Amino acid sequence: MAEANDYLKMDALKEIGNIGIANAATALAQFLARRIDMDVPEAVVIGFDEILQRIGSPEELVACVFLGIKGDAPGTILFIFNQESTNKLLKIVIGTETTGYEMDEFSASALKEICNILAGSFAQAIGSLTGLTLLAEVPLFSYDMLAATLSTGLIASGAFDDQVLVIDTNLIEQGEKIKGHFFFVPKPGSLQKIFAALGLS
Amino acid sequence: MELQVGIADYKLGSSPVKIVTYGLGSCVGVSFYEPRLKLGALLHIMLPDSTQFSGQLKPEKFADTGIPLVVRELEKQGARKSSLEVKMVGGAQMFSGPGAQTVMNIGERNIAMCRKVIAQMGLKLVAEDVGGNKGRTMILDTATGNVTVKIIGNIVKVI
Repeated sequence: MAEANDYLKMDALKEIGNIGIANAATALAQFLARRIDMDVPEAVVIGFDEILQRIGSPEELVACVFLGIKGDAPGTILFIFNQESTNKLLKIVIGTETTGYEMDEFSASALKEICNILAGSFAQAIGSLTGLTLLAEVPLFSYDMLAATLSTGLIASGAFDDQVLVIDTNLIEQGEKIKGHFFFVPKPGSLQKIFAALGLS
Repeated sequence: MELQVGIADYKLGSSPVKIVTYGLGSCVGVSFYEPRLKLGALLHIMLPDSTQFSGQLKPEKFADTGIPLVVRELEKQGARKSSLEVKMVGGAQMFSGPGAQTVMNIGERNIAMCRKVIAQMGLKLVAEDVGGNKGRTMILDTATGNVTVKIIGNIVKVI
């Protein structure tokens, strides 16, 4: 019985991820005043070690946005975009791409703002689904090696060896795929609160 | 031959093996080298202090338990503690933004704890490339004891 319940919770978690991301894509479309489509996101719950292998090579250049979530079910949201997807996003939002290994302040702000919108609407979607209050904090930013940014982001989230909810999705704008990896790392106790609010305790 | 070290992991090797760990962010890589035997080890710690946690802990994850563990393993292979050359890489502040210093101070704490443990054990810290705001890849060459540090953009230095 315990196992059946675990599956149910896993499904609930994936569904939460789907609803959250769908809401986030809609908010982004409104912000950009363009049509943004989205592939059906793939949600998995995996351990620390597997995450890196899943996303790319450890020394690959990526943009990573870290957002604290406070409220009834605190945690962290992390976004990772590889260099190609980062540039596609920047092209849409500010019209220019970034080159080289450093990102200028303006491009970084634009990316943070996008992630702010995505995370804010994700948190809001989970909030209205569960009746809990979740609020996104000010984003932090890194543009560096995948392994270095992701491990640091996860450690700062308190995900030391726990399982992490990872949602991979493609945002699509005029046929261009923007690949994004999205992590929701609940603080201890937060998942239980979300499950309890959904009647799955 | 190249040995890869993951997060919260360590590897031992002797000449001509190279031991590498990719993408140290706030984590710290600690290398140990016994020149007499051309024997080395590389440890990749995540967190400073195991006493802050309870339950079953992986010693390689923490500075306070990982460093003594690797030294013991090297001694089993005939290394003398007094001849070990220790180098330290990583502990960066990877994120920027309001409050980043407090949310993301793990790098700094990792560096401080590694230094403390190295000093307490009477080990020789011969070189370091720590802090800053860049991710680093660290490679120990057991043929020479040299440590190569790479940051993004193929910038390389040897310590």
